[in-house]
Amino acid sequence: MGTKNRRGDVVSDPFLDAVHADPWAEDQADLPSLNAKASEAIEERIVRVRNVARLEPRTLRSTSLVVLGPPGAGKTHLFARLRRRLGPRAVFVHVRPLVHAPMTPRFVLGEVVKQLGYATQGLIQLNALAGSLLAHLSGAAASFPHVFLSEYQQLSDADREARLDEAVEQVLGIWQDLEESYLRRLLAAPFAKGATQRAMLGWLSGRDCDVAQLARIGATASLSEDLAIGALRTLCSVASLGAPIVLVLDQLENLIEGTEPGARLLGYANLSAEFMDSLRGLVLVHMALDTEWARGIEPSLNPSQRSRIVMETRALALPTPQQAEELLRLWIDRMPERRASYPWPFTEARLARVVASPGMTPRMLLVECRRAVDGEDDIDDTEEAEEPVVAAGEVADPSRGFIDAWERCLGAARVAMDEAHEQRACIDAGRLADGLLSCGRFLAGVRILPGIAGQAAQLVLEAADGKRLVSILGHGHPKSLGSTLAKLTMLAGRMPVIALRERARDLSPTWKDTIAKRDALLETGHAEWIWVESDDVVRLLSLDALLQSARSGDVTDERGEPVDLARVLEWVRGVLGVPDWPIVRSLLGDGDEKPEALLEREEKAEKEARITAPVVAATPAMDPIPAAGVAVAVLRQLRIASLERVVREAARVEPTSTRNAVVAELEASPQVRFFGRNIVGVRVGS
Amino acid sequence: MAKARKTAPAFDLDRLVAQAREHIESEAFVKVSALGPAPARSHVTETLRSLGFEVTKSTVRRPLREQLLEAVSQGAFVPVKSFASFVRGGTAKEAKGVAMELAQEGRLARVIRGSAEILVPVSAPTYTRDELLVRSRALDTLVKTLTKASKLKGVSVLRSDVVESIEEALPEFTRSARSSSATSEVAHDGKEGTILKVFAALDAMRDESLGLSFIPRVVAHLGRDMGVDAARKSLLDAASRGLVELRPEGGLRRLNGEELELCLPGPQGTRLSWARRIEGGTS
Repeated sequence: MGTKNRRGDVVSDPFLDAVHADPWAEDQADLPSLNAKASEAIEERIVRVRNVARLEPRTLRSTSLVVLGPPGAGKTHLFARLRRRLGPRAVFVHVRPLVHAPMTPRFVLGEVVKQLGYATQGLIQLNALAGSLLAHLSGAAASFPHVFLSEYQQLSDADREARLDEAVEQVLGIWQDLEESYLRRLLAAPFAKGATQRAMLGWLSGRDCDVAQLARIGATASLSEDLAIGALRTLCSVASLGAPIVLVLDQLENLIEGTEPGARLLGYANLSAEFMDSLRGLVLVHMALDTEWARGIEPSLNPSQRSRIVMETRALALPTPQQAEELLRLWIDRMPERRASYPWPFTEARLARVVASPGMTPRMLLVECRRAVDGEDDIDDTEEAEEPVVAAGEVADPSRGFIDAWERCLGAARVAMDEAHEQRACIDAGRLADGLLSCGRFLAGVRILPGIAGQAAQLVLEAADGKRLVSILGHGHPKSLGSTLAKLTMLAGRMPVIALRERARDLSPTWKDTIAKRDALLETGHAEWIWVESDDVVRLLSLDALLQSARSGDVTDERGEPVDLARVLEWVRGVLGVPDWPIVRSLLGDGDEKPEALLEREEKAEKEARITAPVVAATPAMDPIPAAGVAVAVLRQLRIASLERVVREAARVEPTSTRNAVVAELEASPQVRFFGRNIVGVRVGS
Repeated sequence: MAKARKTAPAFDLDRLVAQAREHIESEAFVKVSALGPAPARSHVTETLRSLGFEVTKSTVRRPLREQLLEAVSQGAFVPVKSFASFVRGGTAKEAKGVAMELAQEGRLARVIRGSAEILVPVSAPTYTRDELLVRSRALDTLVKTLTKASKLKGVSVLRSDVVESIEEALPEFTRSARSSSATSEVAHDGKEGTILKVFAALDAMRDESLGLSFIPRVVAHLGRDMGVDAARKSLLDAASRGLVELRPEGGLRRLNGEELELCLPGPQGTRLSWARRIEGGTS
């Protein structure tokens, strides 16, 4: 599918998307000579870790490297390049920091195991890890883990178990301090099927597993927080023998609160130092904007943290004029339809100016290319900088750039939610808390603040009528959920409590004790139960991701130029209508309907029914979709979306609707605004 | 029946040596265990040794001296603590030993930058020991005077005295300032000299851990010598000649008005705030 520009040329979507690197993109143009040294530095560390692990395992340590660059210099691209280049010879994990609370070993463990499920070059990273380890332990070459794993898969269960036992013994013979039960399940996971594998991965990730999952894998309890470091040590150690784990902490500038260091930065520094001291065989890569690192992050590290984190610093290089031209050519060659031969879409003079401009990042080059394709006139950069087109303080009309960014965030959030649901798990409560904190920026008279780390309530809501604790209940096991509910019941005596849980992970009717505890919480009269709908989850995750990207300079305006956080906040405020989101209205007590739990209890009392299926949404009802004007109604729910999505959603509601009818309806409606040809949104105030 | 005598397998020794050389050319070293079948290794290592490569128990490598000299000659300023990362096929201890030998032989110079000790090419402008002592004494006297004055309420020192003391302590500093203040514009025929000044300013203002120089500081430093406008032009000129990389500001409103003023205009409305010398880029 492509997008038509002003001249009618078809610009491929991948081309437009490439302005923002996707760490997990399979097909990405790459110029190997650009930042070859930074790639080699990381690659060398991976090789060194693997060699030391094999030759002198007892002396194995972790290693740390800092990679810096301005926005668009290619930090995330570097991750994608290494992942594609090294593929199964290393396991790559990309983590954005948490905002609401310091990152914990358990959070990192969850991210590592989640991304073990991602594939590189068609091979799941978990299989690469286990296959290369088993191959090495068997004295075979670890270069083709998939082949080795296939051999294991062909063995009978008993034979395979015996071989895995042998492998476990071998590893424990090298490092006695590893967690045996963790290691056994890690090695068994690639051979498990369906629900059992999901349960194993859930347990390995430190997530709160439900009873059925624990029973399925023969575990008595989920991994507790204090075992997370041991689990990570086991993971990193065994991976180092075959495919070392490369943990990339990206967008670290988001840890800076205001312009000063704070608890989050301290938490990150302590965690990184702990990893360096406690884990072996980990390749830790820290990525941040150069100025933010130099002025905000590094000065706040104490000497002990600095010596562990800043083992080596690499500032990414910008393309030389020759590399800039090669990069542009690479992109232009990938465009499906070209009107003329190279240097189209540039003229010779324009191309020469663009590639020779000092300070051009790869992203800026792509923006220049996009402008040229769109037929925008050449602008002399120097003049532009001295006399900006958009005067300071004046806000450019938000358009494709912001919407692209929002759509990307929505897409990623939907994928994350689907993955969590596939694992029968809630979305990480920390990420949802970050999303709610982000919402707080757009609410008048209300503040949402982080709670105390480790407490049952992650957030505190401060409104005109007082403070309320907000607890996001992402537990999978009824006992741990019940335990948190009991704590909340105690807290409710001192301060009103709002408990949030994803509707998709409703309480099972068999969790009688937990349901009783929830009832006890609600009976205090100081508690409210809010079901979080899937759409809300997606919005919260997307908003958090959008604001983090904005802070990292990764959001661009309608002209493709990086914009600062203030402009993104203004756009969000004007277009997304955060205060009207159902979850926000519920939190602020503006919901039109009773909380579902109360309704359920009433029904329970009336019918003496055990449990009934939820029939009424707890969050305020969305706009009803009338038979006529279905497209506008759908759009009012989505607020902003691609035209294709509106067509799709409208067809679900009204199967007879056609694309033409939807387009005609949207074009006729004064409430609807088109951003280009593909994006539509509801006008502010409508 | 008598056992057939085992014949030693024939090896293509020339090919093995050629392969090893090729590997060393690209990677700077090769492991002895990778030199081919065990019986052939001693011959291959001896041949490589005769070709000038260094042979240790486990590796054959390009001589560490050569590697280190090459790294420094390419403009790298090598911190003493990280010698090992600039050479391949040797231990940190070996690298340090070689570096110290080179310094004693006068082929490299050891300098202190901030709190780190660094190796630089002997061609880098440094002071002799006597020059250091003279400057240290002169500045020490000045510091004592300033400290004394600052401790006494209502007492100060004459600005002209301070300037005079600095001129005495650092005559080269004021000499260069005087000689260049006459021409604030970069004259075409003086470009080479200007580029050298830009390099010197970039080196002087370089953040050791980042490896980058903050442009407002570089411009201010150069501006004392040639004026701010000329300093900005000279940086742009060095960038256009591929000698210096100028980088856009990526911070979150970290620059104050004065710093923004000294930064250079960048593409797409950005400001260029960091710079570094491009490796191999010499005037």
